[in-house]
Amino acid sequence: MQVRVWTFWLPKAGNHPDEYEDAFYPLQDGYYTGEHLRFAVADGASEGMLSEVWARLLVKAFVRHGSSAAETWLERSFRSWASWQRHYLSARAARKRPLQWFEEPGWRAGAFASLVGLTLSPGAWRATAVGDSCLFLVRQNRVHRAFPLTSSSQFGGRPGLLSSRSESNRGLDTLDAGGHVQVGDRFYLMTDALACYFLGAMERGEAPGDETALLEQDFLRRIQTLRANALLKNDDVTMVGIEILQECDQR
Amino acid sequence: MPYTAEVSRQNPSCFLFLVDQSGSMSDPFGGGGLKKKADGVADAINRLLQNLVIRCAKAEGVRDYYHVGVLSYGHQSGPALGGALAGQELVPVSQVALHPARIEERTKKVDDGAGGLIEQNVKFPVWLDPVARGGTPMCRALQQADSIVGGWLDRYPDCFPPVIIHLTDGESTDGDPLPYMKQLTARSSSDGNVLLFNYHISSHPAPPVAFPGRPDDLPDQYARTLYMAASELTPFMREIAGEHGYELAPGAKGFTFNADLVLVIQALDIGTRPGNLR
Repeated sequence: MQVRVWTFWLPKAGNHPDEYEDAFYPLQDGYYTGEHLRFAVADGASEGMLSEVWARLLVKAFVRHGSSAAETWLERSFRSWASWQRHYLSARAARKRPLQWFEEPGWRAGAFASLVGLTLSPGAWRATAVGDSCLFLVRQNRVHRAFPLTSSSQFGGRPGLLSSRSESNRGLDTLDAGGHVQVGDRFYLMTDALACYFLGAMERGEAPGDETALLEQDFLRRIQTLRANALLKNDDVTMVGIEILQECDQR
Repeated sequence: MPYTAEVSRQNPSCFLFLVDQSGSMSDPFGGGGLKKKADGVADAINRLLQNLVIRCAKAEGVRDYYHVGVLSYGHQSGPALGGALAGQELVPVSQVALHPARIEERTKKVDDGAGGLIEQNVKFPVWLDPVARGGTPMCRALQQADSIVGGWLDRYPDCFPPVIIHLTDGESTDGDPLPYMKQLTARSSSDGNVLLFNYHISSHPAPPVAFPGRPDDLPDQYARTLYMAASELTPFMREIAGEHGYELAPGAKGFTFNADLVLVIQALDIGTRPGNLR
């Protein structure tokens, strides 16, 4: 299978790029070939402490181990997080900057993130999601599938998010979806603010190809315009586009 | 739409607490408790400041989404934060984080994960100590608050409007406070008028009244004055009140009468929960 991938991201208006708390894979645009290809976006919750790190670890675990059951790649994420925390605390101690009293509650509470991951296999797609990061399958300039949320009115509540503390995820289910793919299919993975806008545009009768074309022509300007017109919440935004070029690996 | 401005480091908002420290604050709360009102109010404000700092905390720092001030009135009137912040009218929340007057160790009971409770040591930063002495020069304190808020609005004309939280148990001893309260709430940013919440803490045994939409059940002119001057809760604050279990009438105001300590803590949360933080 061969795909073309393109990615866009921006921090909240007024924030430094270092303060961007989403994560995505792949980091490089281009052509990807393989029997099983994985892609993901995750959105670290702003209210959490070090959520951007947790979002990156979730994406990494899904991309590396997403062929396994969710419990397996999540377990990998928890282990990576524990290891990262140990290194982080050591580094803080070495810099004589131990955790301050105001960091301790957030540290104890853990980090939170939404995730949507996509696996492409010969002729088929499968997706896993927790929270309000979304996948859209656009076929023949129609949204063939929106997952896990299907309407702009579903955003804005309190989505269930993956916690870096495994015990905080009790009762939280990963959602799955899938189907067949065909050449020319385009998948878009988006974090919540952009996904909400995109679904709203579809509900107003816009063509998905027109919306994505505007974003892809000049992502920065388009996002600035949408934010200025209060059509897009001021949040970190991430979009990963994936186009199916060949259904089977023909190397 | 008012009260929707984003709160960011470039466009912060402010909280100003007005705290009655007159002699009668040494009386216990109504409802048969033993805790002195002055102790309860100081604890509640310290806890609120702690929560506010934690909500603005990121790794290795606290983002200055808010500036915070505490003005007291009683035997001595003026800025009431202690330690390195003493004498300052408004300070960025990062400075609040870095400069509590002291950090106490307290214990709290937490879930042990096996159906029981265990005691855990927690740090309790203290910025404000309880005081209860002297008269109730409320008008002067309101004038000072007006001056501070006016200066703030000159600097941040598009901010989420400043929130003034006024905790008192008594009648003003330096005149009618209503004109001063009206002057304060007449001020505005481009996002709406200044919000004034009056929380009346009494030793009276009558049941508390919380966030009423009408003044009908208030027993005296003084309570009605505080009610009249109080701002309506914003839609977001009504949501927070809902989380605390309140079913509010239309036009519910940021006013409580005969508040006990639990209600004071809830009311502080309702008035100060960060909304649209960036």
